[in-house]
Amino acid sequence: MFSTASMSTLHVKESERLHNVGVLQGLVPGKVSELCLMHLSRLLDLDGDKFQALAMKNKAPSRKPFLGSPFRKKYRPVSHVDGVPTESVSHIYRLITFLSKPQIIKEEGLFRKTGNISRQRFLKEWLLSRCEDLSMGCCSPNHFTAHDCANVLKTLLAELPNPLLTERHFEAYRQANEFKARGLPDASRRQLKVVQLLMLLLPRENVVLVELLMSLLYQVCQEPSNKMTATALATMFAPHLLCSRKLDPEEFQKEAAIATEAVTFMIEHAPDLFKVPPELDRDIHSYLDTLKIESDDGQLTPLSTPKGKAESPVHTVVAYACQVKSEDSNANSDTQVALAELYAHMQSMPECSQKKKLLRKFNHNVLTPQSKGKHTRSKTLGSSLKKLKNLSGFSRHKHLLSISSDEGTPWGLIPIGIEEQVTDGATIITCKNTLAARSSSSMRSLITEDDVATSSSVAGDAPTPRGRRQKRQQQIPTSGDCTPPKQDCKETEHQESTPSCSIGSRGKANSKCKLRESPLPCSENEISYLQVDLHQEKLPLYVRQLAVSPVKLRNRICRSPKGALMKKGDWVRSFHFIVSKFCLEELSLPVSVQSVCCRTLVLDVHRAWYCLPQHWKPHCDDGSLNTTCDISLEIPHSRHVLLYALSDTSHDKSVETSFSECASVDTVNDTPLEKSADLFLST
Amino acid sequence: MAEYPKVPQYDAIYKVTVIGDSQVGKTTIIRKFVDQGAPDHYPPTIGVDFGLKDIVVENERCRVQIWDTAGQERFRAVTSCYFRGAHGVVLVYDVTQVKTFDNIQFHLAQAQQFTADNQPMIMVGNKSDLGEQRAVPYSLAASYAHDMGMPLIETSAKTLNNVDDVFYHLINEIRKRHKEDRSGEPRGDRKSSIFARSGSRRGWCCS
Repeated sequence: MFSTASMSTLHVKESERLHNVGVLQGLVPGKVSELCLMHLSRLLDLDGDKFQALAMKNKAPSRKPFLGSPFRKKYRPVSHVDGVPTESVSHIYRLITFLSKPQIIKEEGLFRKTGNISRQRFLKEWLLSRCEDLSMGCCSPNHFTAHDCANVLKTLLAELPNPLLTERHFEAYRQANEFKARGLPDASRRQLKVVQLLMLLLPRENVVLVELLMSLLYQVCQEPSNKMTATALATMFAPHLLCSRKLDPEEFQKEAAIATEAVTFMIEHAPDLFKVPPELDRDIHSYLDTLKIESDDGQLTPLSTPKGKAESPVHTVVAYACQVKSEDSNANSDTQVALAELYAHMQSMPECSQKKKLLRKFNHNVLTPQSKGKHTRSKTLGSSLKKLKNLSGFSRHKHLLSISSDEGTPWGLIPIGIEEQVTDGATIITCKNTLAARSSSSMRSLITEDDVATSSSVAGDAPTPRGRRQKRQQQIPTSGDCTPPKQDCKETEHQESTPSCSIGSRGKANSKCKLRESPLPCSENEISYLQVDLHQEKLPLYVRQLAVSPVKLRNRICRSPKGALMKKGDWVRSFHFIVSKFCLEELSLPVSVQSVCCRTLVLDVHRAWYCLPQHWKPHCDDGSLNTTCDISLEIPHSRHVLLYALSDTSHDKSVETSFSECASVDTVNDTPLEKSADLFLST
Repeated sequence: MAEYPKVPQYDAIYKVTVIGDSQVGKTTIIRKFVDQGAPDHYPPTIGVDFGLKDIVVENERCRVQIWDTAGQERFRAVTSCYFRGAHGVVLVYDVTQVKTFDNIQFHLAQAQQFTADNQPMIMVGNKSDLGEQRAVPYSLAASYAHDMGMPLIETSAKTLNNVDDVFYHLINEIRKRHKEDRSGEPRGDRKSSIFARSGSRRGWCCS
């Protein structure tokens, strides 16, 4: 009874870990690989080139050779596209599913025996040309045997442009193999951890295939009737999986031996390969806690919960200085009180030179923290002041509190006096100054939150290159006193660094298309810039209130109901739910406003897109939403989404055409954009 | 990997000084951190010794240069000069010997005397695997470390428990403080990034 209970909790923990990884991958794309690399560097000796080779994917090599350099050719980076082409994924997938049938696994000498070569050639062509179920062709007796399929699988793996486990990781596998020879304590656990971390660093397509392949090979080696052991299987597969494609025969011999050892280990530990190491999970967990602003029910989640630390299975005895205040320091408060009294007394003294002298003495002796030669245990007022500051909590913590106080209700729907007039079909509002102050302060807090997120994503690879952006929009005539919080933009450096291209008042008024390179395409930036232009556009209050909390929306989408691991249906449904609940039903907004809300949402949805596996490309199948959302779901690039959303906002025909113009310009000029869009659509 | 030019193999270098009484296991901790398969026993250090290890923090390659000082009383005069330019200090005591813990106070005073204010430090209680011989309770050490404003980690160099964590925590702390006062000059001797020019310069003359 007890054991089953503990097993189930283990299982829950495992899935939770995977879930955490998915969530973090979605929120801050580069962070997971960054943490993985850190943990790898603990286990392996990753100096210089070795680390560079491992991290190559993350740091897209954009350096250019010097003009006229004699070594220009040398510097040209080798192709770093490790991902397996989509069509070969499907071929291999079908072969593997066919081979994992129980009667085929029992076949003696599976993967060892060679089948009929002409039949294999035929099978390969047949695979490449047709897309039918493999078992149909194989069921007929004079067609392909299991050995044919097994061999075709091997050739397909061998013909991949890059080995499945990527040659970049070869060095890591080599070092992991040596753990046992070096006599490290619990070498096999370490090796497993290295492999698990490396799996997390692989591209997604590779992971899918490796998982399938390893489970197949594991089944094969578990079956005694086929007389294939893990080593035998590894000998055949290792060169295709791990060795570089261009090697001398001698080098190849050496590498193959190492790779065989590594692959043997992987086959033997196939069920554990795709688990998340507990140490990594602990780091991810604590990082997520720092990101976590509010949970779904609008309550504050405490930063770095001590409870979570206690539950963690790691036997670390790390105690930080922010624990319980010891009695020692409590006892010291008497001194502080006495000092304060003394100081007060001195202050109350009549003004004279003596007082000045005393004060100077006091300041010099007491307020100088930790003067040299002093007994270290003795407390000074300065140090205790310092400590008080420390005890008052982390700065982030404070920041959390400020957010919560800014936004009393979950959606910030606090009625503040506004006046609305309607002229020329445009909404004009006047806000009181308090509102402006309030919104600006909440905005600032949001931005800082984004700051946390983006700063960490800097190192990571950005999801899509976003290129330049053109912004035009009909200015909404305003007469309000709600000054756009420009100072805020300058207050945070981050704000300036974000590709903030205001779609608002500056756009058409300047009649100038501003083009700006955006170095870091990620939706945190978009969210924060959205903050700015929603304020600058002086939209109706409720829109702003909605838009104040895109982070919450994002969390909602990313976490609910199953976070990053949502199925397609759930995903669309939750999106519908959010849109319908907060934009359409509850507030019954006018159409133009609706689409602005959608715009905010769509960006978040766009973020959530990255949480999804590539092959779950969501389609909006029922037409319950308005067109803006439907279109935006089809088009994965946020800029287009934005354009569509905006084109819906304005009822003016001319503006609409200018938007379509804009879109067409984009597709012509921006090849990276086009590519990324193609990439998305092709999956 | 021959396709890449010779460049500095790290992005930043951090100097860490390890101090503590003799026989607490300073050398062992360092050796184990640098090479996990290193032996357990070493003769007393004379003067000073070094350990180098490359680690990766936040996608940056950091080289940790660890100065292993002599713990014996007669080397005290020499030890003091190894604090110059250190980015962090590791104070080691032996959980099975109260005397070494008492002497932490002395070492701390010495470190504070010779280093800049607000220097990141970390306290390490070594030999935590000898549970039954423990003489310094964890709570006592933790409260003392708390008073001194530094974290405490109990390690066991023999079983490799927490040895990595000591240096990772310290480097993280150093990096955090550097980021905070980035407005001033950064104290880490930052080398140029991976694709530095120096390597390719070489190509000009000797091609």
